[in-house]
Amino acid sequence: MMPNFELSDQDAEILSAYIDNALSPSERAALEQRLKTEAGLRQELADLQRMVSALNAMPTLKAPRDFRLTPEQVGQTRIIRGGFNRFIGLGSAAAVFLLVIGAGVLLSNRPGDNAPSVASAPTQTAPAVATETPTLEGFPSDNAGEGVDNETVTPIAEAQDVPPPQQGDTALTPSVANIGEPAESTSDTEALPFNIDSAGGGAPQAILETSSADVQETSPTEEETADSAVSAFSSEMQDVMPTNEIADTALFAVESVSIIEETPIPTNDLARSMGSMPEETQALESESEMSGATMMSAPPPMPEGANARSVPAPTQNLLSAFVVLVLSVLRLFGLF
Amino acid sequence: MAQQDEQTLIQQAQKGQLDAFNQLVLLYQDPLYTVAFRLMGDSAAAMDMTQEALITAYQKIGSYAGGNFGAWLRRIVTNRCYDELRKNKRHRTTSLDDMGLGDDGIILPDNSPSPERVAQDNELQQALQDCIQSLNPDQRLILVLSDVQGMAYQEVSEQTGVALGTVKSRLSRARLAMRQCLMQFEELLPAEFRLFTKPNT
Repeated sequence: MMPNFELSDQDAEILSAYIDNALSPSERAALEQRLKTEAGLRQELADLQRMVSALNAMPTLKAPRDFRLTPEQVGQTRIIRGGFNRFIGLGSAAAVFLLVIGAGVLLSNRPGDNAPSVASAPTQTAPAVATETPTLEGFPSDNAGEGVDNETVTPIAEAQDVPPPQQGDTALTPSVANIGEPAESTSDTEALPFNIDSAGGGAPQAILETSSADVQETSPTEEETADSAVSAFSSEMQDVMPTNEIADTALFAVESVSIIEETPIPTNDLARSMGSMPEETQALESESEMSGATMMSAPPPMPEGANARSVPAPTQNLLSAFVVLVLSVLRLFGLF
Repeated sequence: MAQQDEQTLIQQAQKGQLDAFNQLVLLYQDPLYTVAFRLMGDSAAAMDMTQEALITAYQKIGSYAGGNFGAWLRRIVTNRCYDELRKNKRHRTTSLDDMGLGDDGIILPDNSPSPERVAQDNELQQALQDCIQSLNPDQRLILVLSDVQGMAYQEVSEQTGVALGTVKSRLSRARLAMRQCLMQFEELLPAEFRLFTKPNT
C-alpha cells in the first residue's frame, strides 16, 4: 500500500492533461521529472489512467427498443412542441380582444348614439366647444353687444383650461341619460334649432343670461379678458389653419352676431350633413335638454375655418388606435 | 452503410421523407441511446431523451449543414439530456448507500464471453455508471463526452459550448470525483477490477 498522497487540484489537472496528451513539451517534461521522484503522484497517475481506460471501454448499449419515428409521433410532437396550439390560443384571444375593441368603436360611432368620447380626448373637444359659443351670442338680444366678449371668449378659455374630468362629466351625463332612448334624443336634437328660432327675441335673451351664468359657474377663468381668450383660441387653432384664417376665425368669434343674423337658422343640418356634428355636441344638446335652460351647447354654425377642426376627432382617434392595435397584434404574431 | 448512401438518406430526410430518416435512426440509435443512458443513468429516462432528440432531429434536419451526421445527432441527444438534467432533478442522484449493482442497459454481445466475465463486466460497468451519476451535470457531460465517447477537448468544447480551459478543468475534477467514488466499490469488485489504491487510514 502506498502512503496517503494528497493530490492538489493543479496536479490533478496536469495529470489529466498528461493522460490526454494535452500538455506542452515543457510541461510534459517537467511532470515526467516529478513522476520519477514522487511515488504518490505516480500512483495517482496510474489510478486515473486505469479509470479513464475503463470509461473508454464502457460498451455501446443496445437500444432497448426501436426508435424509428411514426408519422403520428412527428405530427403530435409538432403540435405539442411547435407552439401551434399556443398560437391558436393566443390568436383566438387576440381576435376576441379586437372584436370587443372594434365593437366599441363601432358603437361609439353609431349616428343615433349620444355616447361621446369627449373624456378620452379632451383637447380635441375644446375647440368644438369654443366654436359653439359664437352661435349663442348670435341670438337677438340687446345685451348681445355688451359682454359679448366676455361671454363669447370665456367658454373658449374654459375649453382650454378646464381639466378633462369636467369635460368628461359634462359629456357623459347626457350620454348616460340617453343610452336607452337614442331615437328620442335624436329627434330632440333635431328639433332644438327650430325651438330656438321660434322662441323669438325674449326667450333667447333669458337663455343667454342663463348660459352665461352656467359658463361662469364652471369656468375658473371668468376674469380673463377677451383678448387673452381670443389669443388662446387662436393658439388652439394655429395647428389646423393658417394664421390669417385664425385671425378670421377669432374675428368670427367676436363678431358672431352678424353671422348668426345672416344665417338665422343654425347650420345644424349642414354640420350633420358634412359629418361634422360631433357626438359631444349632441351630448351637450341633451344636457341642455335636461337642464331646460342651458342653450350654450346649441349646435353652432360652423365657420369655414372651423370645419376642419370640428371633424369628430375622438372617433378618428379611436379608429387610429384600433388600426395601430391590429397592426401591433399582427406584428406580434409575425404576420406583419 | 456507405457514406454516399448516408448522404442520400440525409437528403431524402431533409425533403421530409420519414422512411429515409428512420433508416438513419436504425443506424445510430444504439450509440445515441448509449450516450443518453450514460448521462441520464436509467433506461427509461434515456429512452425518453433519445426519442425526443430524434424527433427534434427530424424536425431540424433542414438545418444540418454537412459534416459528421452521427456527431450532429449525438449533439442533439446530449443537449437534450443536459437540459433535462439541469431543468429538473428527476434523474437519480446516486448516493453511496444506494449504489446497487443492477443493469439498466443491455450490453452488446462481446465475442461470446463467459457468464462470469459478463457478470464481472456488468459489475464494473454498473459501478462506473453509478459513479458517473454521482457527478454534477456539468462534470458528467464533460466526462461522458471525453472519456466515454472519446472526444477530444476541442470537440467537447465545440459540442457543449464550454470554453476549452473550462473543459480541461471540469474533466480533471470529474475524474478525481470518479476516482473517489470508485474507491467505495473496491470490495464489491473482483480482484482484477480493483483498480484504485485506497489511501491508508
